[in-house]
Amino acid sequence: MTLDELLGAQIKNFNFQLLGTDISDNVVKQASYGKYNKFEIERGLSRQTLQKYFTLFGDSWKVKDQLRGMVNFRKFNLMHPFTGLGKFDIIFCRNVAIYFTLEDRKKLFNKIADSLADDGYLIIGSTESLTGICSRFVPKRHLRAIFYQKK
Amino acid sequence: MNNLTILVVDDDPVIRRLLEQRLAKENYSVLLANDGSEAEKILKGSHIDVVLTDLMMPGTISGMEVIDMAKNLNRNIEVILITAHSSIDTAVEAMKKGAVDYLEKPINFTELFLRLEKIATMRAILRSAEDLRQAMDVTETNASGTIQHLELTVRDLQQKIDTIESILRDDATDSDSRIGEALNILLN
Repeated sequence: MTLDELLGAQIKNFNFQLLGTDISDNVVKQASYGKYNKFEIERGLSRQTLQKYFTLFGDSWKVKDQLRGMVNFRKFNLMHPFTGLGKFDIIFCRNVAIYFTLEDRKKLFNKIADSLADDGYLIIGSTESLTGICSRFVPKRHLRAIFYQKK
Repeated sequence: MNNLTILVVDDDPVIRRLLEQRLAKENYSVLLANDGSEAEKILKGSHIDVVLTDLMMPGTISGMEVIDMAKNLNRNIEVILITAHSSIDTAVEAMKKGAVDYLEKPINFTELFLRLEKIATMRAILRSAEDLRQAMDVTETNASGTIQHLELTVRDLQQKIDTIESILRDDATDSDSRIGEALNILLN
């Protein structure tokens, strides 16, 4: 959605590969189906964006196929090795590691660093921190947000 | 908790009157419209929680279109459709458009009141969820501001330490000027 809004017609000049993972089969199924109830959808989506990218489906909203087709969803356990996933330019790992122990968090962000291209970006949850967890990233400010660049 | 404002849309004056009386008796605020275009005026001009609309009405706007109209004006408006014939297909069609429920004529008031109570309860739950969400958003915004500030401070301090270390380890310069330079960085 953000890519489409930012790039507009230019989007066809780019080759994007988007992968979304979760440990639960159900969540992966739900994500690829792309249906959100009205409560979930009301977090930060304008009516205009909503109508552009979603179709009303009873009391729920369903992501339009043009967007759904851009993303692959796959069941994956973050505790397992990342081999076979490939290299990424940007990794979003938001509000997942908060459920992990400090040791597992260290392992996870180390694997994420391994899977990032050189100078690749990592985006974590707005209340998460990498201090004392992984020193392979440099935090950088962009407007009111912070992203991490691989050293 | 019967503080819902209900718009009744029906071309039959007898049914309008009956619904108005019964709903008012249960302490609901009631507004009346005799067709779709009147309903549109009221929907645009007043705050409505629930629309109770007849499916078949004379005029250019059908009950089905009243659903679209209400939902387009405000997604939070709930619409209950009243159908003359027991037509499941129409009811399903209405639910797809976003109607919350349907009732068959003749209206069973016990049923109607139960459904309205459910809507009122749902609204109260949504409201408190909304309050919690707002509280969470505020907390999250504050916490993330603090964390981001700390994160960048740690980065800057680390850079300072690294610079100072390389200055102090620089054998090519004499100790006094190394210390002077290091202090300079530290106090900057």
